[in-house]
Amino acid sequence: MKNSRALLANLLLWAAGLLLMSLAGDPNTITSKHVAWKTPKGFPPPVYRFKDNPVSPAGFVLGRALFYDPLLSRDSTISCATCHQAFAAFAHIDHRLSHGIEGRIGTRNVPPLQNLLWSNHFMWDGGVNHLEVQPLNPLTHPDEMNETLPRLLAKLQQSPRYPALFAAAYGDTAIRTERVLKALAQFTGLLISANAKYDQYLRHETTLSEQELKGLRLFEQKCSSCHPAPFFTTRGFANNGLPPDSLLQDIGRQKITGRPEDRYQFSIPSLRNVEVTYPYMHDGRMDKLWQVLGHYSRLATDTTLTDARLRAIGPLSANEQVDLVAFLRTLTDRTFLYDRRFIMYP
Amino acid sequence: MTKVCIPLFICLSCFFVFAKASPLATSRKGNNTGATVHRGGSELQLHFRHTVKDSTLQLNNVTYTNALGQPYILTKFKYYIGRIYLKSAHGRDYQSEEYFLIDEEEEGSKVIRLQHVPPGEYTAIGFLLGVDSLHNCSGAQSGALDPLNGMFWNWNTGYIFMKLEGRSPASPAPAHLLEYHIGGYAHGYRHMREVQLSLPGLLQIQPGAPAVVHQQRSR
Repeated sequence: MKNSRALLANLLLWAAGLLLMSLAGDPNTITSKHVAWKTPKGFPPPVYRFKDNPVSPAGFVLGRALFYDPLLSRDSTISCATCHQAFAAFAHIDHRLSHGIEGRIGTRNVPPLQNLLWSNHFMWDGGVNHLEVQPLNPLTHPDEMNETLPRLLAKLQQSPRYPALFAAAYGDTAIRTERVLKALAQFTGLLISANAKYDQYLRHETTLSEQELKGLRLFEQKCSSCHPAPFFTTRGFANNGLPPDSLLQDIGRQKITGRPEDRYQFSIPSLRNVEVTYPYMHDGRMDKLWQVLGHYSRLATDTTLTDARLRAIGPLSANEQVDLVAFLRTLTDRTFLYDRRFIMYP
Repeated sequence: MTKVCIPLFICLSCFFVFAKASPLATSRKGNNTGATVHRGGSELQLHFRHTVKDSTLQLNNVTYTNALGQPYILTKFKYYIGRIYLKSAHGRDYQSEEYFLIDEEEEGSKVIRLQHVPPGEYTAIGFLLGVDSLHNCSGAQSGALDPLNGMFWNWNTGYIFMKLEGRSPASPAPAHLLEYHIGGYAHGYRHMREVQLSLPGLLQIQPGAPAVVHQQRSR
């Protein structure tokens, strides 16, 4: 008797679970509510405004499908999402340099993808001037996806899946470079992170601990000339005093501008979600935040510095470094990291 | 029929800028581009003809010699033309915003057809050789400006305005390749060129009165 009752209870529980799952529907479903967005409080107007590329649920779904599809790489082994992981603010956690097909390794650390609508340049050297054309780099780079545009368009046209997705997004099944890139921009553009504990604190929805507040004050004194709110970057370029790697021989911004004074300058990264975007620096040489702070702390006595802002940071006491890390952790936005819209369920 | 055939000197000067940087000097009288202006009704056709010295450019087949006596062959010649305008006594009476990719390998690309050209008497034709800065900063584009055409730099955003490729035993590059890829829209690196060519006499465009202007000029 007892057994059959337990069995019945078990069955009921399963039935209830199944019912709930069917009510929740396809976890990949996107409606207009999901793609509605506005400039977060405290953010300036965006640089990329979806001009000539109005966001739609079907456009976003197409962009997301492309982002998560290994078909985009030459041998169909890696997708954008291979190196841009949602839970790492779309950086590649614990991987120093970018990874490509056939185990190929690039020369720079995978940057997170967040708040791209407010960026006027892309890549560590700022060589790319527009959100829409940025994906051409990983798509065609020999050490990344190593694909060509004609081959990619042919693969998408022959796929059983894409003509319908393009038709839903654009009204007909034509698959062109511009449509591929604009759909990707609809997906990557909506990767907006503005709900960290720090943001909630600014909106008076939560309070910061004493240690976090001490860290914030220190940060404003020592770090914000290069990493100012709300993006925690000036979007400028700097040589942050790292000795150049003798094997990578990466001259940074100079490669783009040709100007000797830009040698070893790299894009100043946003510190939003910095807790989960390790490793750090353009070549991923540091694994821990305390290593980064240690580096800046030591620069007080570095005579080779080209950027005077760096000398004003250190030395930082052990307590100050702990406070700074406590503050940096308030920039982690878990709503963003676990946002179901940005994940593709099989 | 009246025809205007015009050498595009600007093409030459672009060529020189980069030829100087190369260990292989190329003839100053190397390549001319000739344009022919036809007209039929309100459609204006521009016919482009590429010449090396005085003969029509031939890819792959003909060995040319530069001023230093170094032999070379050419395998590719492509470039952008845009913002074509016609000038009359009153100013710019016609302006096209379209871009065209002219490719020596594709006959069809060497004829630009402009529609709805207003009737008038024109004294000069002008255009941009290359792509203006706005179109270098406008993200994904289609048609002539589709990155699919291989005239786009991904890593340092911008269009390649002109590609001239070939081979020469004098080239120290791998496979003795010659590659001139010219582009750049940013301050200090602006390599697009405004070209304005005076027409020999007036080009009269009138509905239903076909005419072709032809004039050949060489350096």
